[in-house]
Amino acid sequence: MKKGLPLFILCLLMTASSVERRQLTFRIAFGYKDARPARFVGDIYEKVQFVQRLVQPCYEKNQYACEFVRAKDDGDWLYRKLKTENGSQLIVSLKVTSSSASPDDEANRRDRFQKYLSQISENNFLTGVRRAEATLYVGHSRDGGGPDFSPPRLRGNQSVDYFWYQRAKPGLNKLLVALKAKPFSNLDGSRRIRKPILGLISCRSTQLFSRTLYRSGRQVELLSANELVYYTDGLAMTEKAISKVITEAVTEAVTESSADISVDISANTH
Amino acid sequence: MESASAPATATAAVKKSPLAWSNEALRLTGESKFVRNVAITNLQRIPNVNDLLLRELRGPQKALALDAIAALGLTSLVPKLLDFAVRDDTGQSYLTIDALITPGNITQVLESYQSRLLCRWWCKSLSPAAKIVILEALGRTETLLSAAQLRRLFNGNSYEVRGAILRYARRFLLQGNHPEFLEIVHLALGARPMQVRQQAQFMLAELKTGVRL
Repeated sequence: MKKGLPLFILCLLMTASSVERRQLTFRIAFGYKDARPARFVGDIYEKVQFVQRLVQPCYEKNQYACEFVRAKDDGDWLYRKLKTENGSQLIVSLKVTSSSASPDDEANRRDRFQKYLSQISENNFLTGVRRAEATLYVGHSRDGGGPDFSPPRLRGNQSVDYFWYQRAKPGLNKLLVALKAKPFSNLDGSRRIRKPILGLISCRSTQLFSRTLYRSGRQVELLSANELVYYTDGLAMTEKAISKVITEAVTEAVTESSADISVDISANTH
Repeated sequence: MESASAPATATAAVKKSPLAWSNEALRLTGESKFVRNVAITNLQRIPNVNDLLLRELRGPQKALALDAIAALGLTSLVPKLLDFAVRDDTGQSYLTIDALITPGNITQVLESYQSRLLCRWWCKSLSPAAKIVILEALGRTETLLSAAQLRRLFNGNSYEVRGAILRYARRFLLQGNHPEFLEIVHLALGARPMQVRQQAQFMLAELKTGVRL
């Protein structure tokens, strides 16, 4: 008996290490969601609502955007362990960031913490484009300016300077640089599970960005919106996209050349 | 004043389709001021719009109904919204109530906010989103909580709520009032996750350099 116990433990360890492990990483970045001319900024609330849903229990079988656990020392990371249909282990990790330091745009403009948070959220998005299986931006389109994580540039009358955003396209240019850069390989050297997804869940992102992004030459599945996106629809679509990608990974129905995940954003927007 | 896509009158459209109010409500955000004003006018034309919007709070268009209530300034609905907010985990009901605060109802609203936020095991606990909205409202109106109350809230909540507690304390500290709230900042410096510690470090740096609101 005494000799058998260490052998048993050794066998257990060998079995555990022989189970194939796969990783699926999502990056979700909430942009700076100001509501000019009002001072209100909403992305803090949207992120909290979204995380609330992710950590709640799953109520249905095959529901996957639930029962996530937050990392202890980095609250932006959430994890869930799943088993795929062939018995391998799937570790799903999600990094969720919001951009605003408070729900008050005027106060944020005077707060040094704002610059820091804007940078963190933008890095989350741009790193995701190079590394994650799915990267989703939920925020404003700035009329073609691109994903934006900072308080908006204003004109003299305190309205958003859309003319500048249309011309300079600051967010779109940064996104194009990230798309053209060499994708990071997985840290453990493993292959990516699927072709990466880039979601731009922002108003009229199809018309504003899709042509330019396709011309960048990088193979991504683009998830975009034809119309204005109401915030609850944006959250629902983000959740749906996550669920769908995890379902594919769990059922092993996905390969490098996976079919489009076909989440229809426009059906739920105006 | 009607836009091309709007029905001849909102009332007529509502008779045809019960979703017509939501088409108008969707135009309250992300559109120009002109379109928003047209949408408000059309919503106001709907008979018994108050009852309609209250009914819709129980359905899938809850968020839109709350947006419409705020845009129409339906202050008479505040007591009913306070009841409804208990069951609303999104916190959006509280944002709507915030938009409807008047000199006539501010005392009732803030008392209600405080009692819900500080209530312990005998009440239904608020969702993190609701706690954040309430903390922001209490800070904005300079409704004073004690350091002990803040400490208790800090210790039992998620990082986003802790962030809201720090923002609440920051408002008073940067005004040079209530130095006892420094205790919360020091508590945050040793707390998890790292995002809370980072926020506290920024606050301390601001206080050292004498930033004032």
